[in-house]
Amino acid sequence: MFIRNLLFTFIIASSTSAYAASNDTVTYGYNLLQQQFVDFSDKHAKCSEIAKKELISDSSIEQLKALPAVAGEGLGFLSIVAINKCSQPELSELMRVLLTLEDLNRSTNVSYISDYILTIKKVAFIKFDLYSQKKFDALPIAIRSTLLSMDDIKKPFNVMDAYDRAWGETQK
Amino acid sequence: MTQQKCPTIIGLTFDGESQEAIDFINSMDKKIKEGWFIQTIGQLALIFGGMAAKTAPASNLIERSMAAQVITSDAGSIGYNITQTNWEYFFKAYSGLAQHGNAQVEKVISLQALRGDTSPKERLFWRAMYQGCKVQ
Repeated sequence: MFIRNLLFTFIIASSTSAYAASNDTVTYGYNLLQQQFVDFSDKHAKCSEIAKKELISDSSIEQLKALPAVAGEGLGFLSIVAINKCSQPELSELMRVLLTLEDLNRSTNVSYISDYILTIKKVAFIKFDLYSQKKFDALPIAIRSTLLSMDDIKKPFNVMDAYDRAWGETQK
Repeated sequence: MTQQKCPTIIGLTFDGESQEAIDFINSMDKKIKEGWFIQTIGQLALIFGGMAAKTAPASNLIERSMAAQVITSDAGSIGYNITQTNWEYFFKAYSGLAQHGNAQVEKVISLQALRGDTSPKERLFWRAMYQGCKVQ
């Protein structure tokens, strides 16, 4: 049943590919997007591995202890910023290729390309990043300034370890 | 590292954001599988449309900088390029989708565990999820 459904879907898709066959740039863009996504997810994974192993210094922990535990939410946002920064330029390249291919596909309208672009958007760009940023911006300016002044958290770091060392006892 | 058993939490309720996070985590598996299906269809359409990229992925810096030339297909050859298709990128993109999807789930769980406005029970739940506890 699955094979039959797959066969039907491929036959329909290959009928649209007759149009795609006439558009070399769209195909090029699709292949490029796959490549960029692979490069980005590999880089992001490397940066996340670095973050897990990187523990922030005791002096930074002392700075955090002086802040209320709610600053932990700001720490979460800054850990995302650090990993995104580490994932450059692959992250920017992915976004650039995705958006330019999307623009091109508005005129060519190849369905599997629109679907693939949507898949990458759903997996790579999620609303929780925005929630986290909003929480950071809602923190008092003094807390934000302290967090932003800490050099330790400008590169990937283990955020849960930092939280536990700073506020773990108070949260039990 | 052995997986710890998930703690039993009686009377656990989720606020709006926790519930959104749970819905997101539950939906990721489906997003990845849909993505795999879409990629497969795309690859088949490229092969049988005669437009699949033929060369192996660039392995050094100079080749990578010429990737634009490497990736384009040979418009003069029409036919089914199954053996010549760039399968390596296809499979890497396949596993990349799952890899990144899982990374996003981990991120969402840690953001929930860091929240200052959750109940102690919710915090315990998200902590256990972050540590990857095993549901018995």
